[in-house]
Amino acid sequence: MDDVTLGADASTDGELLERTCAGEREAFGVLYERRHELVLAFLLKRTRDPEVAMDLMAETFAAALIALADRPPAIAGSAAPWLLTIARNALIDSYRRGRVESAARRQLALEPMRISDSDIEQVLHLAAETDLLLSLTEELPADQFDALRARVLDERDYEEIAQQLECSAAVVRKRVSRAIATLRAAKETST
Amino acid sequence: MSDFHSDYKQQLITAAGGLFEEPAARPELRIGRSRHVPLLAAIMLAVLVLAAAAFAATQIIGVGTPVRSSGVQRHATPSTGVGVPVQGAHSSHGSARLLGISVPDPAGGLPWGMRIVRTTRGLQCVQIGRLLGGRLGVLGQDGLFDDDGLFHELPAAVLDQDTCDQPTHFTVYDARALAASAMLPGPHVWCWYPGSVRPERAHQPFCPARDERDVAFGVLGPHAVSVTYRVPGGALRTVPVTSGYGAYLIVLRQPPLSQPLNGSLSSSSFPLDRFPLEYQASVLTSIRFRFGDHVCQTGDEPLPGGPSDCVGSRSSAPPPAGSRVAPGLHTPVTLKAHKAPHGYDLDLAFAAPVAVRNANTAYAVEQFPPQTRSCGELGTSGLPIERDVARGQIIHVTLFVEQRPGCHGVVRGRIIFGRQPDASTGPVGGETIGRFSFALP
Repeated sequence: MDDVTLGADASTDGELLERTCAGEREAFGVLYERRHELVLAFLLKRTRDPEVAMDLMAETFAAALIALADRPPAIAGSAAPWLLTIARNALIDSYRRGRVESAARRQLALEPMRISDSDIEQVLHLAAETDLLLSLTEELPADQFDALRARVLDERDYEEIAQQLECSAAVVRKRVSRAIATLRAAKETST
Repeated sequence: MSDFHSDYKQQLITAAGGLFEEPAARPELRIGRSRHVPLLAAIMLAVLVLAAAAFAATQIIGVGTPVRSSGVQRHATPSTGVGVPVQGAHSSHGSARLLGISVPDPAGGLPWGMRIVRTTRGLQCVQIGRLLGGRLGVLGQDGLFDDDGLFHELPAAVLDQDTCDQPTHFTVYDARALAASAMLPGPHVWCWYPGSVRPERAHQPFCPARDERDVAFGVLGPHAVSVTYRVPGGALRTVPVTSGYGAYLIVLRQPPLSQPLNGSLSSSSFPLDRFPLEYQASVLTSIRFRFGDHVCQTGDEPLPGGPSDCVGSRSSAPPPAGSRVAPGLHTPVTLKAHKAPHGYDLDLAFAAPVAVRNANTAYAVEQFPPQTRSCGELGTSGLPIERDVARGQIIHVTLFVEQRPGCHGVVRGRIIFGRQPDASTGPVGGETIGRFSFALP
């Protein structure tokens, strides 16, 4: 994974959130660019379905934007714990509903997602390459990491979540199932 | 960055602009702007309009198709999940009881009502909606049922697991920014809160002005006497709860919100004999109880000069049957492993040492993967078994164990049994009744 703390913009996550609140809309785009892989890796680990993980990731960032407008969090450095907490809540909410919620995206009038074969392939590649805990260990102070791990990373019920979650109606599938099946078979063989 | 991520990033940026741009740049909404008309004419006109609206809403409204179950409840059975209403619950008698509560809507039209449904798994579910001819339902508006303007009955069998709980609990619900259609938050519908800033791309409609409600409801048990809540403007109002269930229903206009809110349902649940109640996000300021001759109150804002705090008070409600889990239970667990993509499926089987007759108790399987870096340090995961089980019945569960490249070690697991604090979370603090392990090759 790239240097998720800095990326192309040297601002910290907290500074990006402040700039977003101040009306600099592009700052939230920088945060998305910087953090979407981490959130995706977290969700993919728990859903084991790239399509559902992408759906939840999209809902997570939309919910984060709404939360930022409603009650801006006090974040000085990394926004990873905040985003992963929102992702975890989105996962649990979706589990309780039996499908991935799209309420935050609907509130923001975001268009339906269009997921292609190459997107799925990238997510699967990401899962193989990303060591979530290692990334967070290197990035967060020990106390923050411990708190995040206790609150967000060690969860129960993921098996049932993985079995029962459905994608939201906002997901537009244009992938070719045969190609995906081939890809998964190839991965299985490689492992 | 892929096309998907580039597109989505751009959408977020646009949405951020809509939320955080300077107020002066926001489009002005012109809702409810008054015209200069003579006062008497305005009053007469308002009276006529209100009368016509009330008449239309209560007398002429047509009836459409009933509401259908969605989500996980589509697959409900009598012995799994929250269960289904016990037999006879499709009428207003038997286990589904339409309470004698009729609360006027702040904008007129059909009043609001409330129903309690007992399920085959021993849970107590609450339904709210609009009342028409003794039936509970929702209105085809605010984007619901294609805005057909009809009344759609909410059958007792259409349960929402988020409003089901153990009958031995206090339960306090609050649905904020609920559309006047009365459909609780879900995937069904939404519209923009009047006065909110709608981004340029938005195509969904605004809810009709003043069409959203703050609806508080709950079940407080046989010792509850009344609830006090704050109305818009700040005044306090006290209303009695129903006898028996201790149920209440409050319907208010939704006060202005800082951000658009697409309906949210919060709930708080406590065993009946525990005080204080620390409910969250409710219009309730205090609740009054009576235990024999002793009257007390609990809540965030106790009434000045009112009775003493309920801390120390105890309900006489008996503990639920079967709530105690006998220690020393044990069952052998058999395990067969099968290779699956990215890991193994473990087919587990064990004989249930104790019957599960309702949602008050449950079994669950927990797994503890190797806590090494190569295995991802995944932490504990669990699988609650939300179904009735006979004593001695063989329970089969398939548990997936992830194996990352280079991950080796022993996956340890256990079977637990215990009380379930609500409708679907699995046992909490349960007894370990069996163990298993599997060495990842």
